[in-house]
Order: sequence, then structure tokens, then C-alpha cells
Amino acid sequence: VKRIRRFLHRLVASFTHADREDFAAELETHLALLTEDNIRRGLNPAAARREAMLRLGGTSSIVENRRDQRTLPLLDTVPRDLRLAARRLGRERRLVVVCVLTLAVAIGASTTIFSAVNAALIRPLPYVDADRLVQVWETKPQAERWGDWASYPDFDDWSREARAFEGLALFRYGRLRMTYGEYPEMLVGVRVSPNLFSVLLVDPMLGRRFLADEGRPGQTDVVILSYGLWQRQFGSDPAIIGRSIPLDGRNHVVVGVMPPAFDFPTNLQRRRNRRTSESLSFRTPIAAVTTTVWSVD
Amino acid sequence: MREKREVWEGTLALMVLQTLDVLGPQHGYGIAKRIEQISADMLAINHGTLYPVLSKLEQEGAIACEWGVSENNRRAKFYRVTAAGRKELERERRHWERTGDIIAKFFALKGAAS
Repeated sequence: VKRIRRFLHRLVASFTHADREDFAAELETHLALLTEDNIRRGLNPAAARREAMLRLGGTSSIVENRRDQRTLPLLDTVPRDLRLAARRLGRERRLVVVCVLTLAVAIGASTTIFSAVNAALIRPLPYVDADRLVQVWETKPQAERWGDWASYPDFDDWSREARAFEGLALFRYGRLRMTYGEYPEMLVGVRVSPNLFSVLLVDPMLGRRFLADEGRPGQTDVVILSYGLWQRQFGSDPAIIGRSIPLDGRNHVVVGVMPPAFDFPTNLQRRRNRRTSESLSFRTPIAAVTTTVWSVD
Repeated sequence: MREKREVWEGTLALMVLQTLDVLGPQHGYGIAKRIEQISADMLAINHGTLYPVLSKLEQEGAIACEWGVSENNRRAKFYRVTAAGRKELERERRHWERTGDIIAKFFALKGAAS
């Protein structure tokens, strides 16, 4: 409370400057009383006054200290400094331009980096039990390669032998040529192992997940569509389930449509989408999901 | 005689409050004079340092002031303690007493080593 009170007093005093003369008078009285005292002690008037001044210690500095103490010096000096800075900058136009540009680029860059990092690393994945989801990479020390995508045979081995995971699913994103309607279209797609949706614990909005044997060679090619693609290219037609669409020259049977919120694989999608055709708006999920191409040659 | 001691920060405010509490309204000169007298001239006050203290106490609301006429017929500001100031003084007094007690106990110890 004391501090607040004092602050308010100082704030008010900063704008009033009322007591400056009063204070001078106060000091003058003090000086006079000291002088008289000294005269009583037997000094001559001049010496008495000099001694008194020494005792009091420089009136002008007292007045100045007092001003700093009673007011908020910041209120005085900050606007002055700002004005000075503005004038100086006005004189150095070119320098200012360079500085502003540097700042702009730097701020822009850090913002961009942050949004990417935020999406990829900080924000939790939009799946159930996201803290129990991990991405497994392959490492080949003898080839000095780390963080490789796993091959299908390796995945097969891992699925059979790894005990650390409740489930392992494989995905690889790539492009898909869709020849449906008037023009062929390039889509971003993800080829996945059939159990991906069981691992992520998500279900299609329409239709069903892939069946376990749908990845095998010789089986019918199947696909699950993203909500965005379904809406845009197929007019949100619920009868799409069971229909065939040609992807990369092979007919794929549509078995499901994902809900709008499904976002996979989250951190890749933004970067990918920008490069593909206009067909994918910035935030739509990956377009088509297909199995089968995991034939091991 | 021992050298005069400088007054250290914070204690001056306490002395001012106490002086005003005992003597009633005083102007700056009176306060300075009184403090010197009480300390039997062992404390040397630079009278100039008194005013920042007064000003701070006033802003904190521990003392109030009004203009009056001094002994030598000059305009002088007379300070007096407010109720809040008295409370503050009481608090400070207790604090100092306690500190003094503790220090005294330490000095009272006579170690085997001495």
C-alpha cells in the first residue's frame, strides 16, 4: 500500500510541479536557522552562512534530487529520448530501411519456423492416446544412413517380432494420378498397411476400415477417400462406397470416406499440399488412401 | 572522542518519525537539530539528506505537513506524524528491539576460545 501510495503521489507530482518554490522556501528557512545558530555560537555572519551551507550540503543538488524523488523521472526522460531517436532516424533513411527490412525478414522467418515446429513438434497429434504413438525409422549404420523409411519386408519382420508395440502400421506418402471425370488429376496419397486405422484408432465416417488381407497381392485394390476429396470430386455422394475409381491406371474400390477432422500424416500434409494441384485446399486431409501396392518385387 | 558516525539508510526515517512523535510538529531544521542532540552529537547529519527522507515519508502518508511560522519569523513547513505513521513507528520499534535483543544475546556469549 505504501508503495502504491507513493507511486500515485509521484505520478501526480510529475504533472503539477507545484511545490518547487515552496521547497526552495523551506530550504531557505533551514539555511537561515542554521546560520543564526552559528552566529549564536560566535561566528561572524559570512562564516556562519558558509558553515550553514556546508552543513546543508548544496541546495541546488538537494532540489534536483528531490525532484527526481518526488516525480517519476521516466515520464520526463522517455518522451525526450524518443523524440531524439526519431530525429536521428530521420537523418539516416537508408540505414533505417535496412534495419526495418532485416527485422521484417527475421520476424517473418522465426514466425514461419515456429508455426512449422508448433504443428510438427509442440501440438499433440490429433489422435487418441497421442502420447503413446511413435514413429519408427530404419537406421543402417554401415551405410551411415539414419531415419530411413522402413521397407515392406522389414516392416513385416517388425510386425511379427517386435514386442514393444501394441500395433505397427506402415505408411508411405506419394502422388496418385486419378483419371476420373474430365481431366486426370494429381493427388497426394498415402499408401498404408491395412491396419493403419486400427493403430490410430480412427474410423471412416462412411464405409469401413481396410480389412487385414486387403494388402496382399492378388486382392482387389481398395481406397479410402479424404472428406475433402469426396466432397469436391464426388459431390458428397454417399453412394460412392463400392464404386470403382481409377488411380494410377488401376481400378480401386472405394471402401470408406474419412471424417473432415482426419488429418494424416499431419506434419507432411501442409508442405505437400502446396505443391500439388489446386485440388487440395490448404487444410484438407491427405486425399486418397490405398493399399496393395506393397507388392514385394 | 569517537568519530561521528554516518547515518545509515532507513534508520533516519525512523529517527524522524520518533522525533516528531515525541516533540509534536517540527520543521526540518528542528528535526535535524533534535536528532543530533539526542544522539549526543555522535551522529552527524548532513541536513540535506533529511529532506529526501521527509519527502518520502510524506508521500507514503506517514507524516503530513502544513505551513507555519518559524521562531525567526520565516515561513516554514511543519511536519507531524499521522496515524499511519504512528503505526509504522510502532512496527519499526518492535523490529529494532527484537534485532537488538538477538544481537545482544550474541555479544553475551563468552566462548571458550576467548
